[in-house]
Amino acid sequence: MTWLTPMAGLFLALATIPPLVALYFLKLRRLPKPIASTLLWRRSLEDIRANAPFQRLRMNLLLLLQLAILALLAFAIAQPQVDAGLTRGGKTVILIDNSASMNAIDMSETREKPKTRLEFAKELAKTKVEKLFAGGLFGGGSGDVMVIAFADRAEVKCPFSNSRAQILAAIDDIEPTDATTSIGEALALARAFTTTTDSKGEFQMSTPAALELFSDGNIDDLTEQSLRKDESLRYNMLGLPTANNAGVVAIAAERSPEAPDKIQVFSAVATGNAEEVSSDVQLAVNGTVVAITPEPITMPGTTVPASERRKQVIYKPFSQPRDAVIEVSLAREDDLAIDNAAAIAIAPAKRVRVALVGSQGFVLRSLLEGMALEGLVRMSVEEFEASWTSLGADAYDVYVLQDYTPSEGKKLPPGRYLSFAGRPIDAITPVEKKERLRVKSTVDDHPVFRFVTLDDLVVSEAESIVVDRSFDVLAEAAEGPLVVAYDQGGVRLLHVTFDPLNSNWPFLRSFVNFVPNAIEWLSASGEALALNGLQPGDTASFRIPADAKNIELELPDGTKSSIAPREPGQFAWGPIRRAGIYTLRWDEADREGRQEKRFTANLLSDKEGQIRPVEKLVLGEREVAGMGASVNARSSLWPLLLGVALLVVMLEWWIYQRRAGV
Amino acid sequence: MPPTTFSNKPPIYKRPERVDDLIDGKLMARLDQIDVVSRKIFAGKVQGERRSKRRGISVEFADFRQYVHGDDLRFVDWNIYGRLDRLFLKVFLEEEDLSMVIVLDASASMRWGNPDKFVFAQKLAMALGYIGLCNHNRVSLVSFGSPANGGGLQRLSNLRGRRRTGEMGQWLLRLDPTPDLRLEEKKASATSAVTFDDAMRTIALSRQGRGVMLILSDFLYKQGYEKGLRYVAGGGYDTFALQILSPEEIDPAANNVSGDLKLVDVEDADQSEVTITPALLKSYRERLNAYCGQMRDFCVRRGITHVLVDSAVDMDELILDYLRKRGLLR
Repeated sequence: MTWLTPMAGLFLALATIPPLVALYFLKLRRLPKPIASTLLWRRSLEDIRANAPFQRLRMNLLLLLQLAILALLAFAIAQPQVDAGLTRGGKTVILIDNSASMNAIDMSETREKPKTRLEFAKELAKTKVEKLFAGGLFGGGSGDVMVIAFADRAEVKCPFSNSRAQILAAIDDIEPTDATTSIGEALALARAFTTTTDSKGEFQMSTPAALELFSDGNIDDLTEQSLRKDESLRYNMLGLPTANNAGVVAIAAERSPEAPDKIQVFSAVATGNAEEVSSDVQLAVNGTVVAITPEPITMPGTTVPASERRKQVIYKPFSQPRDAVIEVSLAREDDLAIDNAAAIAIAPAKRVRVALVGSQGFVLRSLLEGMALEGLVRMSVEEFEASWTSLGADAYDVYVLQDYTPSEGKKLPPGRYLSFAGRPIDAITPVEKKERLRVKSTVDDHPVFRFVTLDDLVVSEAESIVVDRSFDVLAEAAEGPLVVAYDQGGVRLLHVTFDPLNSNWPFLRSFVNFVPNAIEWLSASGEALALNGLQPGDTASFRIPADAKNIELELPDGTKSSIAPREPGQFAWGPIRRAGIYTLRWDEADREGRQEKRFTANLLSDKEGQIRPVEKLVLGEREVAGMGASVNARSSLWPLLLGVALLVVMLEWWIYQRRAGV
Repeated sequence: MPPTTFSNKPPIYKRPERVDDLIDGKLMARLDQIDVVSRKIFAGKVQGERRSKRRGISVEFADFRQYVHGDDLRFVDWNIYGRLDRLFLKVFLEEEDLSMVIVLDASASMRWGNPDKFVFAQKLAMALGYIGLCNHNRVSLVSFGSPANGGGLQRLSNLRGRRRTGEMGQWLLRLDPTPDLRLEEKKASATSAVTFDDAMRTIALSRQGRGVMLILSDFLYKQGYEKGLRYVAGGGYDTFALQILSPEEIDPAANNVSGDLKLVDVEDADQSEVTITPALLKSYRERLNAYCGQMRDFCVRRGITHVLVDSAVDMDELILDYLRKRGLLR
């Protein structure tokens, strides 16, 4: 039971009931009756009064009825409403969580045709909308309803509308995802729609909105959120506290640089249950089980600290020179199937072919020669530019350019380049020469700076440049960028603005780490999936042959869709909604049959794997208790109360008339 | 006519206007067979039809006793003297008349109830008086408390013989306890009315001879009945207190009493605001029972016979059955 205007009802009750009682004390209408003697009556009254100080009021039916009428009116004015429905009138935002944990089937009665939490949530939301529009004599306005689905990102399924059909269709349209949960964007969207700016743009006014959340409460960014003063949130909790789940929370596979045909697989498993869970963990390569843990792995329950909950499972390196999909899975059934397995696609064992273009500096050449490369070719600028037509940019994995600026009228073709000094693309605008530069800041977590520190680097002379926003500045000095990354139109470029020989870098250990990192980062472009795979919510983006045709993507559920690449040689698709193995197929002019590339998306989330519903949401200072997923209309009780009050008025009048006739 | 009951039912008794309304021929015929009994046998002034405690001159033999010097020789039983040679005196029972005083409460409180308590009392006084007259008793009637008379005493003394019946009836008809409606104004002067105590005192002081006293009243006196009854207890009277209450007073619950009422005392305009509840009615019944019980105890201790009479009871039944059982009539 909630009250829309409790203070009004309270005020009415306080303003009328005490005066009524006082009036009864003061002005009770008594019928005068002559009597032989008041002797016995007086004595009887004394007896009664001794026992009951308020005997005058006691059993006074008329007063009781009048008090009942006032109380009913006060209740009606306070506008009580039955809970578990939508608020009539005003603005209601339906927020439906369609994250991975909402795919749990713990609420389903049968395992044969299981229903997920999301399906229950959609049903519940639809029932509430139906009831909201049910109308009736006292239905009143249904108000505007907005539908937002949210997982790792939020999507407005239906802006504010009072069309029942549109709202229901929008709810039906919500599809499950395997993404993580964050509500911040959804709240921001809802607020954007409820906030209006006046015509002059000076004041922002927000309409009070009732937020109707359908979720299991496992929301990552909940602690960062708070409700505004005029917002009310009703949390329709989905899921059962008995929900049972364990899953793979990490997977990684590596080919060792020394023996590239050997694969080492690392994984971790954990459970979201309060009690510990045991399960065998198996490893499959291309669908064939190749290993299983010798004894079940015991995963501790949520009572132990989070850092100790993950159980690492490491498999012995095994030989797999070809590409493969490696899958780690738990040999048990639980309420959330999607995290029971995690897969990653491994590219075939391959070494990098590098071409060194331009003035062949000794330092760089000897460094590259020391690397375990499949091939290192040196070519002049002319040869390099001539090869664009004959070999294509795909002939070498990485080109290393030294002080290279394309000839007049030429433009760097799609490919992967590590460039030192020069002006390899037009987007780099040289300004002036600077001397004695020192690194001011670096993006330390970028893969090319792994084990690289540029604190000691002193550049004696460098061209200061200006770059636009398409560049990532990885390292810069006070005078301008020193290392920039560029990835557009098939050109993936890592550009160092100075010649290493004009600095002390060749003498520093950081240079020895930087060059292999850069080669690896550039060459792994597209094949870097081998480490962790993608996560739902990510975008799959990698290179395919520029002449690929009839590109088709097969989703984990078996559906296929054809893809038209935005740029030749570049495949980008996203955001990924479901976890599983994706297969990309295409035709190539000079190769027979369909070419294939697989990539995977995995849930790999501790938080999302904890599917037990959260009983109470804490949003800032407010706590919102979850309501069971019961379906009740929220309808106003005031018409009923008024009706009862009217009946009592009639009864009171009848009794009064009867008494007055005595 | 002011309302005299709780309910609006039509009055069961009409106000009597003629002597025939007080007592009808049929009842008179049956009352001829009845006499008033006194548990004490009193000496009367003139020889009557009643045995006296005093041994004396009559035809009815009572006993013998030894002759002592000075006895009237006319009563010596000479036959016994002849046989036994000793003097014995024959003792005869003396027959004498009985003084019968009927005290009628004519205060305003009697003009209440349905049946009206006063009408009932009038009829009862008439019937009892008639019995007394038929049996050659000396009947006196006294009323007190009548508002029309300023509450003072009214007397009708020393009636004897059946031919005085009409005179007694006319006197009774003249009594009117109808309450004065301007009670509020008269509230102060109401206190000057003769109270029950004063009336009893006056009656006791003006006693003539010995006899039976019948007090017909509701005995609902705020100042108490005890003092008044004490005057007449044991003072040569065999006293009967006939407490007349109306059905509404005996059981208000059965007579449609309900709601919020302002009860106004017809005698002193005292007001009592009550809300009729089951608890109040229960308390009232307990109070009434206690009141009557205390009065009965009080009377028993002082040799007074207390009789509680419901004004709704049938007069024939009351006189021919109930009062006989209580030892008042024979």
